Amino acid sequence: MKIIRKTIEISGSMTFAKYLLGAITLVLFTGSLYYQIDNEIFIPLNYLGMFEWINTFGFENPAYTWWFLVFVLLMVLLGINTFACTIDRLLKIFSKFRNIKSIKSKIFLLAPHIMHFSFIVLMLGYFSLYAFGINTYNNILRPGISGILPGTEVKMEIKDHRFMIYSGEVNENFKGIHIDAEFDLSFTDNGKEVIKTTGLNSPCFYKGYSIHLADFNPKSARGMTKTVWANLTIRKNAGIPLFIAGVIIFVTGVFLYAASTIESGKDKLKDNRNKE
Amino acid sequence: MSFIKDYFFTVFIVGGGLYTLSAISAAVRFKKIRNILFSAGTAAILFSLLLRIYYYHPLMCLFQEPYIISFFTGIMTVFLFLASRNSGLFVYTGTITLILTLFLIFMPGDIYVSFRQTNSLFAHVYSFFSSFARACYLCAGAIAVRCIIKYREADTLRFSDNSIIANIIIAGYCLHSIGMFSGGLWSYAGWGTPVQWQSHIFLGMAGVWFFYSWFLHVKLSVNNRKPVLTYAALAGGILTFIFSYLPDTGKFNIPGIFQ
Repeated sequence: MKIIRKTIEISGSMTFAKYLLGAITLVLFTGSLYYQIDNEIFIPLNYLGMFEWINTFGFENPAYTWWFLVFVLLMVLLGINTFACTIDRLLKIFSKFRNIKSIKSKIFLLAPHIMHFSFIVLMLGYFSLYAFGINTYNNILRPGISGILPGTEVKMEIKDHRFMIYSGEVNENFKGIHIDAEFDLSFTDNGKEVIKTTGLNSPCFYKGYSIHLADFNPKSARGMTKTVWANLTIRKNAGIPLFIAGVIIFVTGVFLYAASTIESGKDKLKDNRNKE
Repeated sequence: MSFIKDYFFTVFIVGGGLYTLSAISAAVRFKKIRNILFSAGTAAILFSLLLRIYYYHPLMCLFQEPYIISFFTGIMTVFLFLASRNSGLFVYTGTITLILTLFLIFMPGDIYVSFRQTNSLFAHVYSFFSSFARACYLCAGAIAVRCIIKYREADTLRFSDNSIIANIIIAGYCLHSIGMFSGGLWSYAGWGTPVQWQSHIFLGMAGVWFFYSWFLHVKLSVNNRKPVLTYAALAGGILTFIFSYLPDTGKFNIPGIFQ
């Protein structure tokens, strides 16, 4: 038990966290510079899995990608550090909880650990997003021509579509253009039809898949080409719910942390003004 | 109505001019005139920003963040002065506002027709919060310069000096987190992934976020009077400028009204 406790203490120490955060900062800034030299290597990360990308682009261009590999390693270590630190601190805090009567103080005490916990959730979300799942791009659908939902036998078809024309008078460049579009998609599985609507920035969801409208045509009511098509990005990934949950918990933690800092800052400032 | 496009940059230049006059007033110690000119400059920048947003609505103007940052550093300068009545703070945060505004007048980001995915609440939230956060970091860096000069003269740091820096950075970190995650949600809704590997800007933003995560951990373990926090805030301001401000600006260009 002592050994486990000692291991948690070392791997979850604040000093280790500071070194890791400093190193990650350096690596990201270095990566930003490398990215400006050659970003073509990194764009496939949008549609390839992380391991697939590392095995191909990553290992074939180590002079440009080494920082990314170091970044992944450091993030894994930071995940372990955050997990160990959170467990260690929470055990200590819960043992003191009986002596703290104010619920507000208890919540404020937990604020940094809520952020730490959500950081772990976010990292798991990002990891599963890049390591697992189905990501398919450029699924072009036209009215009357059906497609197949990737990895299934579900038939996918455009049933109806609507385009929103820019209604303002101010911007000359926008006049007549379609600033948004909606496509009603029908999914037919074993004869059972379900209709969902997807649009720009508003994906639809069907049996664990998210269907995003990446592009569409016609782009303008005044344009030469009137052919209607929708370019869909289709994803199935467990990482997204984790990512969204992580975001919500992190933002809650951040607000609590800011509130606790404002409260304790007021008291400290008063004390120190008196001393000064 | 297309005249609006010609006006929003001109109004921004007027704001920069008012800031310059305010700096001259500060140099000759006309404090009231300095304050009035600076406030008028911030109002002009806000007006320019509102025209820009109105012109592009419901889409979002690309590369608008540096303009929002100029506004927020101006607002923070006024706010800090009203809250503390400290001219020292006014001079340093006002100077960074003037530098950023003049920098942007001569190196504006290119304005393209926005892409349709900017028609999203998350995009606007990302732009607003991440700009406010960057303004906080840059102001904290400017105040750190003042503290370092004072520290070298007096060989001691007042608790309240570092405390102001830390509080501004904490506020910036909260805003940055909300902005960054809002950007992630926008990216997911628009393209199906929370990270878009198209531009190096997000690497710079993430680097700055991790830098301030490091700062907050250092703050927990050292006394608030220690100069390490002041130097770290200055380094943070410089890193913010290089990695999350410069990428949104353009090449050197003399504005039309000066030609």
